[in-house]
Amino acid sequence: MSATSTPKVRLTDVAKQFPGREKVTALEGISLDIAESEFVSIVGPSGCGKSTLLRLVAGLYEPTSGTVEIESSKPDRPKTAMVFQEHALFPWMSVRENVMFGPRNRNVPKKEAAEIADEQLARLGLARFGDFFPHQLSGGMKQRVGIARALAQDAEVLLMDEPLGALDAQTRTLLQEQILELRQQTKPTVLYITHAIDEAVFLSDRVVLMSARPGRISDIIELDFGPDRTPELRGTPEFAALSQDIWNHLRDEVQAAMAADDR
Amino acid sequence: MRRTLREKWALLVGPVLIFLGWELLSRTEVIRSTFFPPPTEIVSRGVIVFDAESGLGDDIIATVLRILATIALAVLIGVAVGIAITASQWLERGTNTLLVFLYPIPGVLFFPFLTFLLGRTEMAIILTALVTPLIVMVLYTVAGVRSIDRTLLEVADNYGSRGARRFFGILIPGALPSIVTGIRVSLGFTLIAVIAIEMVGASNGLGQFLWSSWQILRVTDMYVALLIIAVLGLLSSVGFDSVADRMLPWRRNVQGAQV
Repeated sequence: MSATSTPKVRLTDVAKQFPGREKVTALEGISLDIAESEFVSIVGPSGCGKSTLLRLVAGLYEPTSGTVEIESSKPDRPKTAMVFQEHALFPWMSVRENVMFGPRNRNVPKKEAAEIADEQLARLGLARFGDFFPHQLSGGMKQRVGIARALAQDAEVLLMDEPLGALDAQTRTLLQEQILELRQQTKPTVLYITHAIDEAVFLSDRVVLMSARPGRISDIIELDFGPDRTPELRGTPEFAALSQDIWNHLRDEVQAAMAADDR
Repeated sequence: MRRTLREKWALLVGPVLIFLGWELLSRTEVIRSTFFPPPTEIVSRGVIVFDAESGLGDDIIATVLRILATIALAVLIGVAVGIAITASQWLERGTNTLLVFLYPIPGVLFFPFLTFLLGRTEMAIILTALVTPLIVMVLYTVAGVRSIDRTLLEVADNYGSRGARRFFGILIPGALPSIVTGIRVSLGFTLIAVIAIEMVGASNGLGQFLWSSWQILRVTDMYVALLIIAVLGLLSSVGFDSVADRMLPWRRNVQGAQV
Protein backbone atom coordinates (compact mmCIF):
# COMPACT_ATOMS: atom_id res chain seq x y z
CA MET A 1 0.00 0.00 0.00
CA SER A 2 2.95 2.36 -0.14
CA ALA A 3 2.93 5.41 -2.35
CA THR A 4 2.22 4.72 -5.99
CA SER A 5 1.75 8.20 -7.47
CA THR A 6 2.47 11.45 -5.62
CA PRO A 7 1.96 10.96 -1.90
CA LYS A 8 -0.73 12.84 0.01
CA VAL A 9 1.71 13.71 2.77
CA ARG A 10 5.46 13.87 2.37
CA LEU A 11 7.86 14.41 5.24
CA THR A 12 11.43 14.95 4.09
CA ASP A 13 14.25 14.72 6.62
CA VAL A 14 12.22 16.54 9.27
CA ALA A 15 13.89 17.58 12.52
CA LYS A 16 12.47 19.51 15.42
CA GLN A 17 14.39 21.06 18.26
CA PHE A 18 12.87 22.95 21.13
CA PRO A 19 14.96 25.86 22.35
CA GLY A 20 15.71 26.13 26.04
CA ARG A 21 18.62 26.03 28.44
CA GLU A 22 19.35 22.56 27.11
CA LYS A 23 18.29 22.28 23.51
CA VAL A 24 15.95 19.31 23.20
CA THR A 25 15.95 17.42 19.94
CA ALA A 26 12.47 15.94 19.75
CA LEU A 27 12.69 14.56 16.22
CA GLU A 28 15.50 13.85 13.80
CA GLY A 29 15.73 12.59 10.24
CA ILE A 30 12.04 11.81 9.80
CA SER A 31 11.13 10.94 6.22
CA LEU A 32 7.75 9.41 5.51
CA ASP A 33 5.30 9.34 2.64
CA ILE A 34 1.61 8.71 3.19
CA ALA A 35 -0.52 7.81 0.17
CA GLU A 36 -4.06 8.99 -0.49
CA SER A 37 -6.56 7.02 1.65
CA GLU A 38 -3.78 5.29 3.50
CA PHE A 39 -4.06 4.69 7.26
CA VAL A 40 -0.68 5.04 8.95
CA SER A 41 -0.15 4.54 12.67
CA ILE A 42 2.78 5.65 14.73
CA VAL A 43 3.71 3.75 17.86
CA GLY A 44 6.65 4.30 20.17
CA PRO A 45 7.65 4.83 23.77
CA SER A 46 6.39 7.94 25.49
CA GLY A 47 8.67 10.87 24.77
CA CYS A 48 9.57 9.63 21.29
CA GLY A 49 8.06 12.75 19.72
CA LYS A 50 4.91 11.16 18.27
CA SER A 51 2.75 14.08 19.30
CA THR A 52 5.36 16.56 18.09
CA LEU A 53 5.39 14.84 14.70
CA LEU A 54 1.61 15.10 14.46
CA ARG A 55 1.71 18.78 15.37
CA LEU A 56 4.29 19.39 12.67
CA VAL A 57 1.96 17.85 10.10
CA ALA A 58 -0.92 19.89 11.57
CA GLY A 59 1.10 23.07 11.10
CA LEU A 60 0.94 23.84 14.82
CA TYR A 61 4.75 23.68 14.92
CA GLU A 62 7.31 24.61 12.31
CA PRO A 63 10.05 22.05 11.66
CA THR A 64 13.56 23.17 12.58
CA SER A 65 14.75 21.63 9.33
CA GLY A 66 13.27 19.51 6.59
CA THR A 67 9.88 19.93 4.95
CA VAL A 68 6.30 18.86 5.50
CA GLU A 69 4.20 18.85 2.35
CA ILE A 70 0.51 18.09 2.07
CA GLU A 71 -1.00 17.82 -1.37
CA SER A 72 -4.07 20.01 -1.86
CA SER A 73 -6.94 18.58 -3.87
CA LYS A 74 -9.07 21.73 -3.65
CA PRO A 75 -7.83 25.21 -2.77
CA ASP A 76 -10.31 25.88 0.05
CA ARG A 77 -10.17 22.42 1.61
CA PRO A 78 -8.46 22.44 5.03
CA LYS A 79 -5.17 20.59 5.00
CA THR A 80 -5.57 18.83 8.31
CA ALA A 81 -8.15 18.19 11.00
CA MET A 82 -6.95 16.87 14.31
CA VAL A 83 -8.63 14.69 16.91
CA PHE A 84 -7.04 15.39 20.28
CA GLN A 85 -6.22 13.04 23.10
CA GLU A 86 -8.53 14.41 25.78
CA HIS A 87 -11.35 15.25 23.36
CA ALA A 88 -10.55 19.00 23.76
CA LEU A 89 -14.13 20.13 23.18
CA PHE A 90 -14.98 23.72 23.96
CA PRO A 91 -16.96 23.49 27.20
CA TRP A 92 -18.94 26.67 26.46
CA MET A 93 -20.22 25.41 23.12
CA SER A 94 -22.99 22.89 22.61
CA VAL A 95 -22.06 19.62 20.94
CA ARG A 96 -23.41 20.90 17.62
CA GLU A 97 -21.51 24.19 17.90
CA ASN A 98 -18.33 22.26 18.60
CA VAL A 99 -18.76 20.26 15.40
CA MET A 100 -19.71 23.41 13.43
CA PHE A 101 -16.53 25.07 14.63
CA GLY A 102 -14.33 24.31 11.62
CA PRO A 103 -16.90 25.09 8.92
CA ARG A 104 -17.90 28.33 10.68
CA ASN A 105 -14.26 29.43 10.76
CA ARG A 106 -14.26 28.94 6.99
CA ASN A 107 -17.35 31.18 6.82
CA VAL A 108 -19.72 28.39 5.82
CA PRO A 109 -23.21 29.85 6.49
CA LYS A 110 -24.63 28.92 9.87
CA LYS A 111 -27.48 26.80 8.54
CA GLU A 112 -25.25 24.83 6.23
CA ALA A 113 -22.65 24.32 8.96
CA ALA A 114 -25.37 23.02 11.29
CA GLU A 115 -26.44 20.55 8.61
CA ILE A 116 -22.87 19.33 8.19
CA ALA A 117 -22.58 18.98 11.96
CA ASP A 118 -25.83 17.05 12.32
CA GLU A 119 -24.82 14.72 9.52
CA GLN A 120 -21.50 13.90 11.19
CA LEU A 121 -23.11 13.56 14.61
CA ALA A 122 -25.64 11.12 13.16
CA ARG A 123 -22.82 9.16 11.55
CA LEU A 124 -21.29 8.68 15.00
CA GLY A 125 -24.59 7.82 16.65
CA LEU A 126 -24.94 11.17 18.43
CA ALA A 127 -27.89 12.63 16.52
CA ARG A 128 -29.87 13.25 19.71
CA PHE A 129 -27.09 15.10 21.50
CA GLY A 130 -26.55 18.20 19.38
CA ASP A 131 -27.96 20.55 22.00
CA PHE A 132 -26.10 19.02 24.93
CA PHE A 133 -23.04 20.58 26.51
CA PRO A 134 -19.88 18.44 26.56
CA HIS A 135 -19.94 18.07 30.35
CA GLN A 136 -23.24 16.23 30.02
CA LEU A 137 -21.68 13.45 27.93
CA SER A 138 -19.65 10.39 28.86
CA GLY A 139 -15.97 10.14 27.93
CA GLY A 140 -16.63 7.94 24.91
CA MET A 141 -19.33 10.26 23.61
CA LYS A 142 -17.08 13.29 23.99
CA GLN A 143 -14.39 11.60 21.98
CA ARG A 144 -16.93 10.76 19.26
CA VAL A 145 -17.88 14.43 19.17
CA GLY A 146 -14.17 15.18 18.73
CA ILE A 147 -14.09 12.80 15.77
CA ALA A 148 -17.28 14.30 14.31
CA ARG A 149 -15.69 17.75 14.60
CA ALA A 150 -12.69 16.55 12.60
CA LEU A 151 -14.86 14.84 9.97
CA ALA A 152 -16.90 18.02 9.52
CA GLN A 153 -13.71 19.65 8.25
CA ASP A 154 -13.42 17.15 5.39
CA ALA A 155 -9.70 17.86 5.49
CA GLU A 156 -7.03 16.41 3.23
CA VAL A 157 -5.54 14.50 6.16
CA LEU A 158 -7.13 13.31 9.37
CA LEU A 159 -4.73 13.47 12.31
CA MET A 160 -5.52 11.49 15.43
CA ASP A 161 -3.47 11.95 18.60
CA GLU A 162 -4.12 8.92 20.84
CA PRO A 163 -7.84 9.55 20.44
CA LEU A 164 -8.83 6.52 22.51
CA GLY A 165 -6.05 6.75 25.08
CA ALA A 166 -8.22 8.09 27.90
CA LEU A 167 -11.09 5.61 27.47
CA ASP A 168 -11.89 2.36 29.23
CA ALA A 169 -11.14 -0.91 27.42
CA GLN A 170 -14.68 -1.67 26.26
CA THR A 171 -15.39 1.81 24.97
CA ARG A 172 -12.03 1.75 23.24
CA THR A 173 -12.80 -1.53 21.47
CA LEU A 174 -16.14 -0.16 20.33
CA LEU A 175 -14.68 3.07 19.04
CA GLN A 176 -11.92 1.19 17.22
CA GLU A 177 -14.63 -0.57 15.28
CA GLN A 178 -16.38 2.72 14.62
CA ILE A 179 -13.15 4.23 13.29
CA LEU A 180 -12.66 1.17 11.06
CA GLU A 181 -16.18 1.68 9.74
CA LEU A 182 -15.48 5.36 9.02
CA ARG A 183 -12.34 4.33 7.25
CA GLN A 184 -14.29 2.00 5.00
CA GLN A 185 -17.04 4.55 4.29
CA THR A 186 -15.10 7.74 3.63
CA LYS A 187 -11.57 6.49 2.82
CA PRO A 188 -9.75 9.32 4.54
CA THR A 189 -5.98 9.69 4.66
CA VAL A 190 -5.12 9.14 8.32
CA LEU A 191 -2.07 9.61 10.49
CA TYR A 192 -2.88 7.93 13.77
CA ILE A 193 -0.90 8.00 16.98
CA THR A 194 -1.39 5.37 19.63
CA HIS A 195 0.50 3.52 22.30
CA ALA A 196 -1.73 0.46 21.87
CA ILE A 197 -0.09 -1.94 19.45
CA ASP A 198 -3.25 -3.98 18.87
CA GLU A 199 -5.10 -0.80 17.97
CA ALA A 200 -2.44 0.11 15.41
CA VAL A 201 -2.52 -3.36 13.86
CA PHE A 202 -6.31 -3.45 13.84
CA LEU A 203 -6.70 -0.15 12.00
CA SER A 204 -3.65 0.52 9.85
CA ASP A 205 -2.10 -0.20 6.51
CA ARG A 206 1.32 0.59 7.90
CA VAL A 207 2.70 0.89 11.41
CA VAL A 208 5.63 3.24 11.95
CA LEU A 209 7.79 2.36 14.95
CA MET A 210 9.69 5.17 16.61
CA SER A 211 12.60 5.29 19.01
CA ALA A 212 13.10 7.94 21.65
CA ARG A 213 15.56 10.77 22.30
CA PRO A 214 15.86 11.89 19.64
CA GLY A 215 12.72 10.54 18.01
CA ARG A 216 13.55 8.63 14.85
CA ILE A 217 11.76 6.11 12.72
CA SER A 218 13.21 2.74 13.67
CA ASP A 219 11.05 0.52 11.47
CA ILE A 220 7.99 0.52 9.26
CA ILE A 221 5.77 -2.54 9.17
CA GLU A 222 3.39 -3.15 6.28
CA LEU A 223 0.13 -4.90 7.07
CA ASP A 224 -1.79 -6.53 4.27
CA PHE A 225 -5.16 -7.07 5.91
CA GLY A 226 -6.64 -4.56 3.47
CA PRO A 227 -9.30 -1.96 4.23
CA ASP A 228 -12.15 -4.48 4.25
CA ARG A 229 -11.07 -6.21 7.45
CA THR A 230 -13.69 -6.99 10.09
CA PRO A 231 -13.59 -6.94 13.90
CA GLU A 232 -13.02 -10.73 13.75
CA LEU A 233 -9.48 -9.94 12.61
CA ARG A 234 -8.57 -9.52 16.26
CA GLY A 235 -9.07 -13.23 16.89
CA THR A 236 -6.83 -14.48 14.10
CA PRO A 237 -3.35 -15.94 14.64
CA GLU A 238 -1.88 -13.50 12.08
CA PHE A 239 -3.11 -10.59 14.16
CA ALA A 240 -1.56 -12.00 17.33
CA ALA A 241 1.70 -12.82 15.56
CA LEU A 242 2.02 -9.32 14.09
CA SER A 243 1.22 -7.64 17.40
CA GLN A 244 3.84 -9.79 19.09
CA ASP A 245 6.32 -9.01 16.33
CA ILE A 246 5.81 -5.26 16.76
CA TRP A 247 6.14 -5.55 20.51
CA ASN A 248 9.44 -7.40 20.04
CA HIS A 249 10.67 -4.49 17.94
CA LEU A 250 9.45 -1.98 20.45
CA ARG A 251 10.45 -3.62 23.72
CA ASP A 252 14.06 -2.46 23.63
CA GLU A 253 13.00 1.07 22.78
CA VAL A 254 10.58 1.24 25.67
CA GLN A 255 13.15 -0.17 28.06
CA ALA A 256 15.75 2.32 26.85
CA ALA A 257 13.29 5.17 27.27
CA MET A 258 12.42 4.04 30.79
CA ALA A 259 16.09 3.74 31.73
CA ALA A 260 16.65 7.27 30.46
CA ASP A 261 13.75 8.48 32.60
CA ASP A 262 15.22 6.85 35.69
CA ARG A 263 18.52 8.57 35.25
CA MET B 1 -27.06 27.60 47.46
CA ARG B 2 -29.67 26.66 50.03
CA ARG B 3 -28.83 26.89 53.66
CA THR B 4 -30.87 25.28 56.37
CA LEU B 5 -32.74 27.55 58.73
CA ARG B 6 -30.30 26.71 61.50
CA GLU B 7 -27.34 27.88 59.45
CA LYS B 8 -29.18 31.04 58.45
CA TRP B 9 -29.77 31.89 62.08
CA ALA B 10 -26.06 31.59 62.73
CA LEU B 11 -25.44 34.26 60.09
CA LEU B 12 -27.66 36.71 61.94
CA VAL B 13 -26.44 36.12 65.48
CA GLY B 14 -23.35 38.34 65.16
CA PRO B 15 -25.05 41.45 63.74
CA VAL B 16 -28.03 41.12 66.08
CA LEU B 17 -25.78 40.94 69.15
CA ILE B 18 -23.78 43.96 68.06
CA PHE B 19 -26.88 46.05 67.37
CA LEU B 20 -28.50 44.99 70.66
CA GLY B 21 -25.39 45.91 72.61
CA TRP B 22 -25.07 49.21 70.76
CA GLU B 23 -28.74 50.01 71.42
CA LEU B 24 -28.38 49.29 75.16
CA LEU B 25 -25.10 51.16 75.63
CA SER B 26 -26.42 54.16 73.71
CA ARG B 27 -29.77 54.28 75.53
CA THR B 28 -28.00 54.14 78.89
CA GLU B 29 -25.48 56.78 77.69
CA VAL B 30 -22.55 54.49 78.43
CA ILE B 31 -21.47 55.55 74.96
CA ARG B 32 -22.54 59.05 73.96
CA SER B 33 -25.76 58.89 72.01
CA THR B 34 -24.79 62.13 70.28
CA PHE B 35 -22.09 60.30 68.38
CA PHE B 36 -23.52 56.79 68.54
CA PRO B 37 -27.28 57.16 68.32
CA PRO B 38 -29.18 53.91 69.00
CA PRO B 39 -29.74 51.80 65.85
CA THR B 40 -33.52 52.03 66.18
CA GLU B 41 -33.25 55.80 65.90
CA ILE B 42 -31.05 55.51 62.80
CA VAL B 43 -33.47 53.13 61.15
CA SER B 44 -36.50 55.29 61.92
CA ARG B 45 -34.58 58.25 60.50
CA GLY B 46 -34.29 56.20 57.30
CA VAL B 47 -37.50 57.83 56.03
CA ILE B 48 -35.40 60.80 54.85
CA VAL B 49 -34.62 58.65 51.83
CA PHE B 50 -38.08 59.58 50.60
CA ASP B 51 -37.89 63.14 51.88
CA ALA B 52 -37.48 65.56 48.99
CA GLU B 53 -35.97 68.21 51.19
CA SER B 54 -33.06 66.09 52.39
CA GLY B 55 -32.38 65.05 48.78
CA LEU B 56 -31.07 61.69 49.95
CA GLY B 57 -33.15 59.85 47.34
CA ASP B 58 -31.39 61.78 44.57
CA ASP B 59 -28.04 61.11 46.21
CA ILE B 60 -28.69 57.38 46.11
CA ILE B 61 -29.59 57.57 42.43
CA ALA B 62 -26.47 59.63 41.67
CA THR B 63 -24.24 57.13 43.46
CA VAL B 64 -25.84 54.09 41.85
CA LEU B 65 -25.49 55.64 38.39
CA ARG B 66 -21.81 56.39 39.00
CA ILE B 67 -21.22 52.83 40.16
CA LEU B 68 -22.97 51.39 37.13
CA ALA B 69 -21.14 53.67 34.70
CA THR B 70 -17.78 52.87 36.32
CA ILE B 71 -18.21 49.11 36.41
CA ALA B 72 -19.54 49.04 32.83
CA LEU B 73 -16.52 50.99 31.56
CA ALA B 74 -14.14 48.89 33.66
CA VAL B 75 -15.51 45.65 32.22
CA LEU B 76 -15.68 46.79 28.58
CA ILE B 77 -12.27 48.44 28.48
CA GLY B 78 -10.60 46.02 30.89
CA VAL B 79 -11.62 42.90 28.98
CA ALA B 80 -10.72 44.38 25.61
CA VAL B 81 -7.33 45.62 26.81
CA GLY B 82 -6.68 42.43 28.77
CA ILE B 83 -7.25 40.21 25.76
CA ALA B 84 -5.41 42.54 23.40
CA ILE B 85 -2.23 42.54 25.47
CA THR B 86 -2.14 38.74 25.68
CA ALA B 87 -1.60 38.79 21.92
CA SER B 88 2.04 39.68 22.51
CA GLN B 89 4.31 38.54 25.31
CA TRP B 90 6.29 41.74 25.02
CA LEU B 91 3.17 43.87 25.43
CA GLU B 92 1.94 41.74 28.32
CA ARG B 93 5.19 42.03 30.26
CA GLY B 94 5.48 45.75 29.60
CA THR B 95 1.92 46.47 30.64
CA ASN B 96 2.18 44.22 33.65
CA THR B 97 4.94 46.34 35.18
CA LEU B 98 2.82 49.43 34.75
CA LEU B 99 -0.31 47.81 36.21
CA VAL B 100 1.49 46.36 39.20
CA PHE B 101 2.97 49.80 39.83
CA LEU B 102 -0.41 51.58 39.61
CA TYR B 103 -2.50 48.94 41.35
CA PRO B 104 -1.62 49.66 45.01
CA ILE B 105 -2.10 53.43 44.61
CA PRO B 106 -5.47 54.36 46.14
CA GLY B 107 -7.59 55.39 43.16
CA VAL B 108 -8.83 58.54 44.90
CA LEU B 109 -5.35 60.02 44.64
CA PHE B 110 -5.81 60.37 40.89
CA PHE B 111 -8.71 62.77 41.45
CA PRO B 112 -6.68 65.99 41.87
CA PHE B 113 -4.67 65.11 38.80
CA LEU B 114 -7.78 64.42 36.72
CA THR B 115 -9.43 67.64 37.87
CA PHE B 116 -6.48 69.54 36.36
CA LEU B 117 -7.46 68.06 33.03
CA LEU B 118 -11.24 67.90 33.30
CA GLY B 119 -12.28 70.23 36.10
CA ARG B 120 -14.53 69.00 38.90
CA THR B 121 -16.80 67.25 36.49
CA GLU B 122 -18.74 64.02 36.46
CA MET B 123 -16.17 62.75 33.98
CA ALA B 124 -13.36 63.36 36.47
CA ILE B 125 -15.29 61.48 39.17
CA ILE B 126 -15.96 58.45 37.01
CA LEU B 127 -12.47 58.30 35.51
CA THR B 128 -10.97 58.44 38.99
CA ALA B 129 -13.27 55.72 40.24
CA LEU B 130 -12.36 53.71 37.15
CA VAL B 131 -8.63 53.39 37.85
CA THR B 132 -8.58 50.48 40.30
CA PRO B 133 -11.50 48.45 38.87
CA LEU B 134 -10.00 48.82 35.41
CA ILE B 135 -6.63 47.48 36.55
CA VAL B 136 -8.41 44.62 38.31
CA MET B 137 -10.35 43.77 35.15
CA VAL B 138 -7.22 43.81 32.99
CA LEU B 139 -5.31 41.59 35.41
CA TYR B 140 -8.17 39.09 35.78
CA THR B 141 -8.75 39.00 32.03
CA VAL B 142 -5.08 38.32 31.33
CA ALA B 143 -5.12 35.58 33.98
CA GLY B 144 -8.27 34.20 32.38
CA VAL B 145 -6.73 33.99 28.91
CA ARG B 146 -3.62 32.40 30.41
CA SER B 147 -5.82 29.81 32.11
CA ILE B 148 -7.37 28.59 28.85
CA ASP B 149 -6.33 24.98 28.25
CA ARG B 150 -3.42 24.98 25.80
CA THR B 151 -5.00 22.16 23.86
CA LEU B 152 -8.11 24.25 23.23
CA LEU B 153 -5.92 26.94 21.69
CA GLU B 154 -4.33 24.26 19.50
CA VAL B 155 -7.81 23.24 18.40
CA ALA B 156 -8.54 26.87 17.58
CA ASP B 157 -5.34 27.06 15.50
CA ASN B 158 -5.85 23.75 13.73
CA TYR B 159 -9.48 24.57 12.91
CA GLY B 160 -8.64 27.99 11.51
CA SER B 161 -10.09 30.25 14.21
CA ARG B 162 -8.78 33.78 13.72
CA GLY B 163 -9.57 37.45 14.33
CA ALA B 164 -12.97 38.38 15.69
CA ARG B 165 -14.17 34.76 15.76
CA ARG B 166 -11.23 33.80 17.94
CA PHE B 167 -11.74 36.84 20.17
CA PHE B 168 -15.46 36.35 20.79
CA GLY B 169 -15.66 32.59 20.29
CA ILE B 170 -12.59 31.35 22.16
CA LEU B 171 -10.73 33.97 24.17
CA ILE B 172 -13.67 35.69 25.86
CA PRO B 173 -15.64 32.56 26.81
CA GLY B 174 -12.40 30.81 27.79
CA ALA B 175 -11.42 33.66 30.08
CA LEU B 176 -14.99 34.23 31.32
CA PRO B 177 -14.77 32.35 34.63
CA SER B 178 -11.83 34.55 35.63
CA ILE B 179 -13.51 37.64 34.19
CA VAL B 180 -16.59 36.98 36.31
CA THR B 181 -14.44 36.78 39.43
CA GLY B 182 -12.77 39.99 38.33
CA ILE B 183 -16.14 41.73 38.02
CA ARG B 184 -17.06 40.61 41.54
CA VAL B 185 -13.83 42.07 42.92
CA SER B 186 -14.17 45.22 40.80
CA LEU B 187 -17.68 45.88 42.07
CA GLY B 188 -16.32 46.18 45.61
CA PHE B 189 -13.51 48.50 44.52
CA THR B 190 -15.97 50.57 42.48
CA LEU B 191 -18.24 51.13 45.45
CA ILE B 192 -15.31 52.13 47.65
CA ALA B 193 -13.86 54.46 45.03
CA VAL B 194 -17.13 56.18 44.13
CA ILE B 195 -18.05 56.86 47.77
CA ALA B 196 -14.54 58.10 48.61
CA ILE B 197 -14.43 60.48 45.64
CA GLU B 198 -17.90 61.77 46.45
CA MET B 199 -16.69 62.58 49.95
CA VAL B 200 -13.94 64.85 48.69
CA GLY B 201 -15.03 66.01 45.30
CA ALA B 202 -18.70 65.72 44.40
CA SER B 203 -21.68 67.96 44.99
CA ASN B 204 -24.08 65.05 45.47
CA GLY B 205 -24.11 61.33 46.12
CA LEU B 206 -24.09 59.19 49.25
CA GLY B 207 -20.45 59.91 50.02
CA GLN B 208 -21.02 63.62 49.84
CA PHE B 209 -24.17 63.30 51.97
CA LEU B 210 -22.28 61.30 54.58
CA TRP B 211 -19.39 63.75 54.65
CA SER B 212 -21.51 66.88 54.90
CA SER B 213 -23.74 65.29 57.56
CA TRP B 214 -20.62 64.66 59.58
CA GLN B 215 -19.36 68.19 59.08
CA ILE B 216 -22.56 69.75 60.40
CA LEU B 217 -22.89 67.02 63.03
CA ARG B 218 -26.14 65.55 61.79
CA VAL B 219 -24.85 62.32 63.16
CA THR B 220 -27.99 60.25 62.69
CA ASP B 221 -28.18 61.25 59.00
CA MET B 222 -24.58 60.24 58.62
CA TYR B 223 -25.40 56.78 59.95
CA VAL B 224 -28.37 56.52 57.63
CA ALA B 225 -26.07 57.12 54.66
CA LEU B 226 -23.60 54.60 56.05
CA LEU B 227 -26.35 52.02 56.37
CA ILE B 228 -27.53 52.62 52.80
CA ILE B 229 -23.98 52.24 51.50
CA ALA B 230 -23.70 48.92 53.31
CA VAL B 231 -27.01 47.77 51.83
CA LEU B 232 -25.86 48.85 48.35
CA GLY B 233 -22.73 46.79 48.75
CA LEU B 234 -24.73 43.80 49.89
CA LEU B 235 -27.25 44.15 47.04
CA SER B 236 -24.55 44.49 44.43
CA SER B 237 -22.78 41.35 45.51
CA VAL B 238 -25.94 39.28 45.95
CA GLY B 239 -27.36 40.65 42.70
CA PHE B 240 -24.18 39.93 40.81
CA ASP B 241 -23.93 36.37 42.10
CA SER B 242 -27.37 35.60 40.72
CA VAL B 243 -26.38 36.99 37.29
CA ALA B 244 -22.95 35.35 37.34
CA ASP B 245 -24.45 31.87 37.39
CA ARG B 246 -26.28 32.61 34.18
CA MET B 247 -23.12 33.88 32.49
CA LEU B 248 -21.49 30.45 32.80
CA PRO B 249 -24.19 27.97 31.80
CA TRP B 250 -21.61 25.27 31.01
CA ARG B 251 -20.35 25.46 34.57
CA ARG B 252 -23.74 24.53 35.96
CA ASN B 253 -23.72 21.06 37.31
CA VAL B 254 -26.25 19.30 35.13
CA GLN B 255 -26.74 15.60 35.57
CA GLY B 256 -24.76 13.87 32.82
CA ALA B 257 -26.48 11.74 30.22
CA GLN B 258 -25.17 8.22 30.06
CA VAL B 259 -25.41 6.09 26.98
